Amino acid sequence: MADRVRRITGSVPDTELPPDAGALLQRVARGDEQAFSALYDLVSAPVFGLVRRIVRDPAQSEEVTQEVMLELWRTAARYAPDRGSAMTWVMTLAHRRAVDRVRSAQSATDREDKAFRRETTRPFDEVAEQVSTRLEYEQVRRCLASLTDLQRESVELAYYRGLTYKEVSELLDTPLGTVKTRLRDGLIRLRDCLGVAR
Amino acid sequence: MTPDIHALTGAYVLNAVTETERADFERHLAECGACAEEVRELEATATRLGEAAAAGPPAALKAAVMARIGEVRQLPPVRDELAVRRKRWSTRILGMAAAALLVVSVALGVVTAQSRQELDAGRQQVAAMSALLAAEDARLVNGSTPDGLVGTVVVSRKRGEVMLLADKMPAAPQGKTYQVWLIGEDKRSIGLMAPDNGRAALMAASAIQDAVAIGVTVEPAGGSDQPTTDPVMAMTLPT
Repeated sequence: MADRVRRITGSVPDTELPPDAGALLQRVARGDEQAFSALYDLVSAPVFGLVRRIVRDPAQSEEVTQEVMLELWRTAARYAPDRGSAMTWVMTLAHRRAVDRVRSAQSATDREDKAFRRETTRPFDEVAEQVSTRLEYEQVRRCLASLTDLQRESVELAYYRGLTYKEVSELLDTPLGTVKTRLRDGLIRLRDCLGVAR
Repeated sequence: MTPDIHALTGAYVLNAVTETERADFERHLAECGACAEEVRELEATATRLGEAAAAGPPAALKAAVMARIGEVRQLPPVRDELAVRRKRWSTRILGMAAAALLVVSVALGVVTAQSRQELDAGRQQVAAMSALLAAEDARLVNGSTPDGLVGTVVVSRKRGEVMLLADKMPAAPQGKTYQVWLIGEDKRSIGLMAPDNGRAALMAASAIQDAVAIGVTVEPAGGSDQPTTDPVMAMTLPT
């Protein structure tokens, strides 16, 4: 994690590196509001960016971000370092909350939604473009580009749009089993390309 | 591990599954070390996708969040009884299955029958434990102490029965015994507990009435009328 932070921040001298999210969480768990403030500074941009990508509506995105941050405050003591990095814990929570928000909004209008989806042409070109223009990290962009079209479309629709793999399958007019497999092997290829620790 | 459910790791990590699928997969995950490892790696991978979308929130949001934390109680590190009580059905059944296994293993460890009479008594004990586990309102709480003693309590308020299973329990010191208490308005002994190979089980078929907790103390051999030491283990009874 520290290595990656160093790499991304590039020109920032080591002494100004943001503190590690895991260490902050540990202090937050003890009720340290100052540590929470530092944690907010560290994670709020990734959290808000991801939430907004999925939820789209700015006001709702702020609401979900606030929910996520309060959940971090509430459950900091439950973070288990052996199950992954703190940043992964934070982003997993953020993604789940954002997806919950769009799904609950969706279930209300599910019938129209289904009809709408059937009439819609594949929207992934637009998604892909937005992703690539907004990607801050060259490496992620390069690695996404190394996937097959179907892998990339499936991963992006699931992750950045919050669709279920069944919805992805419908949208891409591809069998369910194929989408399930592409989500997995797409992520595995990304993992290897990004050099995520094994 | 079926290849079909294993293929779900990607969809699971991306939250591209329904609630039911998530629950099924998480049950599978608990038993599949390879899957858990893959999920950890793919979650870290998805995190990179998330970070790539980073965008700073409006500055006012921080003040709003900082103002709110004063109103939000922080959870303690270990899962509390309330969380256990609120556990979903599926998890409760899993817990029950685990408890049933524990009962069998404890029973096998504890029931070292020497005679026909003892064998019958052992069988009766196991049958009583199984009946309690099968009770419609059976509730289960797991806990452990810092030095590794593991306790499981099963309660059925309808049957008025409570069972305590202990694992990794050291032998009581020379001349001492473990004594188990139900704690409510007062403390009532429900019996002595002698671990065999670290395991012990005790069941009280007496009405559990107002008991809110169960505790184990070390007492002089033969037991005491009231606890004379601090409990080595205490657990809140599920309601």
